[in-house]
Amino acid sequence: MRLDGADNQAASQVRLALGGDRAAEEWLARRAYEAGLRLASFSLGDRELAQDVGQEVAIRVLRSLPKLREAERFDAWVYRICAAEIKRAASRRGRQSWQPYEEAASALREDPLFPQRLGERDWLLRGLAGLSDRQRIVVGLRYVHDLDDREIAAAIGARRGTVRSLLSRALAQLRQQAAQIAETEDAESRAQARPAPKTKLEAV
Amino acid sequence: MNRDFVEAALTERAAAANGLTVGDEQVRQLVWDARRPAAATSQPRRVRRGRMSLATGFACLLLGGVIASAATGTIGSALDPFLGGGDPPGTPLAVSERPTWLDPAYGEATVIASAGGVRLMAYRQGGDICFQYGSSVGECATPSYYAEEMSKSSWLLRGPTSPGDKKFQFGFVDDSIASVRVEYGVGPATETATENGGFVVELDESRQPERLVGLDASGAEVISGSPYTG
Repeated sequence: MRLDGADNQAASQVRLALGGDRAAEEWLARRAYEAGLRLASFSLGDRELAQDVGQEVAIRVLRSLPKLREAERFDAWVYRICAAEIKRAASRRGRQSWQPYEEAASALREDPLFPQRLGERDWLLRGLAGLSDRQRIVVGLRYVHDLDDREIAAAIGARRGTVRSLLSRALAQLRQQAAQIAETEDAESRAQARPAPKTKLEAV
Repeated sequence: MNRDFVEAALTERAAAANGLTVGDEQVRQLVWDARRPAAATSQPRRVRRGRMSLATGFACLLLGGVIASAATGTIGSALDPFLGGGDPPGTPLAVSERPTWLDPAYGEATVIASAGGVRLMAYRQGGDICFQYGSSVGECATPSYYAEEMSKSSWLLRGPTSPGDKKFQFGFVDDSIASVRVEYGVGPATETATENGGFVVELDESRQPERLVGLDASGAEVISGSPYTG
């Protein structure tokens, strides 16, 4: 699920854009926006905030393009900017409690862009909400952009070992959360399946 | 619950996220925004929590001459009281119709104009005034910002936005504009009366929208532009 196109295509578009090619600028803007949008929607569970992030990433990328030293590393650079913008967006929104994620889940259910089944995954939204900013980014880069440990490390400015640790702990936390919810649901199902006690009236 | 279940859910969620894309108009707008000085775009793009930002799909272009004094905060429009600190013009939104993110403490929210079920809404938030273009695009800025922008021309265009498979153009007008006409490459033009200092018009893309025209009460042309670029 990487962004479309190979790195060398991005590199050639970067060079064209730096030469003033409008179509190349639009190509890069789309690539950056969609990278930010997708990663943020996955990580934050808030489509509107994700669109803000996508926009900020695209504009920051276009404005900072002359500072990009290696055009071949465009994608890694974009992912770094995405991570920074998502962290900033999450911080701007404030420390999340459960409620905003419930609202986000509700919004997702009404959003035709999202499959219905995603809205039903409330437990996952809750689980992601419980992760640290860094854990959410790492999980997003792995699952949304299909990056390996080395690429994620480059994107977030960390060592590969740190990435492995972040990912491993995040998945463990999500599994634990899922298991807890399953136990609760099972208990509720068992309670509903039990025959109701007879009332005094019925007994008479 | 096992490892596969969690990873399958993450994969599913990622697949949904990967289905999100950006439209051509929005990309063009982003490039346009990026080329402007940071100070020129920072204010309208700094939207409040709960709404999308300004640049998510509209062109903001100013055409024509100055019509009033921005310094006084009046532009000769039904929007003047709103710019001056009063309630927004238009039909107040019922409590049940208010977006969930819109805090009732912000006061009256109104529908300035609508077309095809898409509404141009206005409300006040803190010291800013805000406009919502349909269900997911909006902006907030200071009244003086809007007064200045609106004073530069007989209209201030916003959009188009693309909810579903349709396109809608939004705009604010001064009192010289009574209606807005969309001229098409194919078929007859459509004309929509302005309401409360604003308008919403649906653009029928299948008929190639070519020209957007602001008309006065007698039907004379006051201002014109492209539906997409102003």
